[in-house]
Amino acid sequence: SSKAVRSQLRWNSTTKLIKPIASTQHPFLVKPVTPHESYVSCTIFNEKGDVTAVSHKFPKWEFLQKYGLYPRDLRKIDSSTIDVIPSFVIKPKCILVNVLHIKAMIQKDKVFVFDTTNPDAAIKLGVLMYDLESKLSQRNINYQGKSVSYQENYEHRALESILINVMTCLETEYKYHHSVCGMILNDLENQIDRDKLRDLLIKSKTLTAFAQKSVLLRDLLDELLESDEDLAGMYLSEKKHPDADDHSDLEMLLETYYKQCDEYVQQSESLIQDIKSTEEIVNIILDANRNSLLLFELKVTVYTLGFTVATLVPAFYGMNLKNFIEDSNWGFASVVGLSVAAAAVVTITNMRALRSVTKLTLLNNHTGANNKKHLANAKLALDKEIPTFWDRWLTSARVLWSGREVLYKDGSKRDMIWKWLVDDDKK
Amino acid sequence: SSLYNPELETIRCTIFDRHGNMQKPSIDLRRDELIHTHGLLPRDLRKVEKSRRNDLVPSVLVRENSILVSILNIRALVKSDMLILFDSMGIKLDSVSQQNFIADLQLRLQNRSGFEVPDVVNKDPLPYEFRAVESIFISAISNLNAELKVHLNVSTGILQDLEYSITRDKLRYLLIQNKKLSVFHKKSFLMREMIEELLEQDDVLCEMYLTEKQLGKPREEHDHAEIEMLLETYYNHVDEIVQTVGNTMSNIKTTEEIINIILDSNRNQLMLLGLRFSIGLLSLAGSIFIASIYGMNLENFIEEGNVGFPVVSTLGVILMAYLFAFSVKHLHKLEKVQLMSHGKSSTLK
Repeated sequence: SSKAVRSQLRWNSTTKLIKPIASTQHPFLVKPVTPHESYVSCTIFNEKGDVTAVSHKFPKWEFLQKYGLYPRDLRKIDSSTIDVIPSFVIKPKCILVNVLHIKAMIQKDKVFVFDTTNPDAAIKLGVLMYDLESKLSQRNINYQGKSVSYQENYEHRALESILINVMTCLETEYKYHHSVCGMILNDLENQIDRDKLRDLLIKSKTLTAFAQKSVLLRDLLDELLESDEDLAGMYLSEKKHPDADDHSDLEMLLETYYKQCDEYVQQSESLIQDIKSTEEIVNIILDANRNSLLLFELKVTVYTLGFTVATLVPAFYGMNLKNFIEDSNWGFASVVGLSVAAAAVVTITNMRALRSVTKLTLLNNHTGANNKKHLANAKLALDKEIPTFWDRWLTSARVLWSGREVLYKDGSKRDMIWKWLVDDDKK
Repeated sequence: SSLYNPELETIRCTIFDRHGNMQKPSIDLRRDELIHTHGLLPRDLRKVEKSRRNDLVPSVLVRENSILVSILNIRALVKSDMLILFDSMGIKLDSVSQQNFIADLQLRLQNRSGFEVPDVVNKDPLPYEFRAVESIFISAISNLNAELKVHLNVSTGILQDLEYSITRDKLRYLLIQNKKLSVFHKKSFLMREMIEELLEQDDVLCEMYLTEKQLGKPREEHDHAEIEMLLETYYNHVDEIVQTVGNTMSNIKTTEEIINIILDSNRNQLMLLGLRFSIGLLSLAGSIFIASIYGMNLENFIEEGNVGFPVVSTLGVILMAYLFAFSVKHLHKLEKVQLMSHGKSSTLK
């Protein structure tokens, strides 16, 4: 029957070890199952690494009794539960593994991989099946004619291929997050956009979930490495004394994957940190932008105020009441003149107020102490942002007289900047 | 071109022999050959194969008769009489730091006495594997130091610039620098953690005496002064780097907060001015309203009276004055609220 199963899996015998990704070219047909109340369904590997059953259904109670499990153990590996917290439950006769999408029971000569209800996870599980099959069937590797055998236990080989599968999944996921978030972060460096920032925050949610997942896995491996008792318990083929200190091979195995997981944790944390600092600085930039919008609004208000002042006097003379100057020849001219003069006075006064407030804020617009350079700097910026009437008039007259280029020929300001630079060097 | 060639299953590396002489540079070793001749496990090489340019987590793994080092861009297998340097990806082999590293490595591994080489006063008493590890650490730390200098220069430049004015460009540079600094901080921090962890594990430190193990004289536990001193020296170096970077990062953080406060206070001032203008607009609009009522071409019963115009005009001006006074008073009250909370006694007098 094992042969039949093999052909059913479309197993390609030339597929080599340690290439889990390559085997996706021959997708394993692990189908998602519908959860059932009284059955557990799983794929079983025997001691030679052959698949003896695909999606074999066991009645729950029988399964529990046969392998000496408690119902609460089953909850960990039940196909319907949400898998956030990874766990290794170490029993006298088996290890229950629940890591990301993989739920499995490892015995000293058998591996049960429980079927999943999630179609995405089913594809990943398919890759795991190939890997498990090749890893478990392998006893020794032929190296230049000599056969060199690893003294690795069956259960550890199973554990390793599960861990390899998990790490590969983490890596693919990290790469995805890295490319997506990295792109938005780069974009934000060049152009600030509220929509992009929102996208980034949405993406950072899934990134946070990924970081949490990998942190939990890393902590789990760390915990295992710390506890001698658990490590000893994970030797199923050769019973170790709980106090025995000699489990360096398992320790090295777990340590390797701990380090790898740590890498993903650190990388994703640094990505999250990047997102945070971008958020902060983008907020600052948006704040600065809001301030300049406010300044523009103020200018608009100043002119509105001027026009309103100009409207006031004509409005009174526009009333259908007797105003005693209807018939005089100078009435119109003098009222218009009066209102324009009033408007000009009010507008100029307000502009001056705006200038002085802006000057104050510009003087305040830095993180150091005030000095001469700051004053000059503020004056220059002020002249650029809110030019006085006289300046504006002068500029437009000059443009009218000799064309636009004259503005750029005026080197006095550049000279001033140059002077500061030189002064700075001297200090 | 990648370090690990998956089709041929080869890894590119440079080998130094017992006397520190570099054999043919860059040969491709078969993966399984490497594993079998040096007593490694296939998974030990995963880190080397998977290495990317921006790996963050450094590691020093001690195996039966070898030490696997992976620090920054250096990946090496140190044995008691041999050093295999896996060629780093990304950085070209002829970069200055790589050349310096190779030269230093050769000099240190050859370990000739002062009679032959004038620069070296005495022979290094440390065994081969420690000389190799030390050379790797020296290279890693000099790289870190160089990077630190660049980061410090750029950061202080930006912070100084921000003392003159806050503009969008400067903020953008601050953001970019901030990101770089945080990655660098993480890198050096993890390296410090790694050395600290090593120093705490007595058994691992003892295992690192490869030459003595080879000679059949493994070290007793707690008897590892040489390697401990070596590691401690570099721990201090890295610690200093971590502290400096941490300091700069907190400087940037403080500056960001100050900028936020400045922008906020500027906004408050601008809004206050805007309110004053709006108050003026409001009061003018009030009197224009009255004028516009009498401006309608409808019967208003006082067209013919002589007092109509002065009365309505005065009314408008009075309304304007009242609106203005009322709003300004209210504004002043609002302005004072900020002071009231800690200045109640002054209002009582």
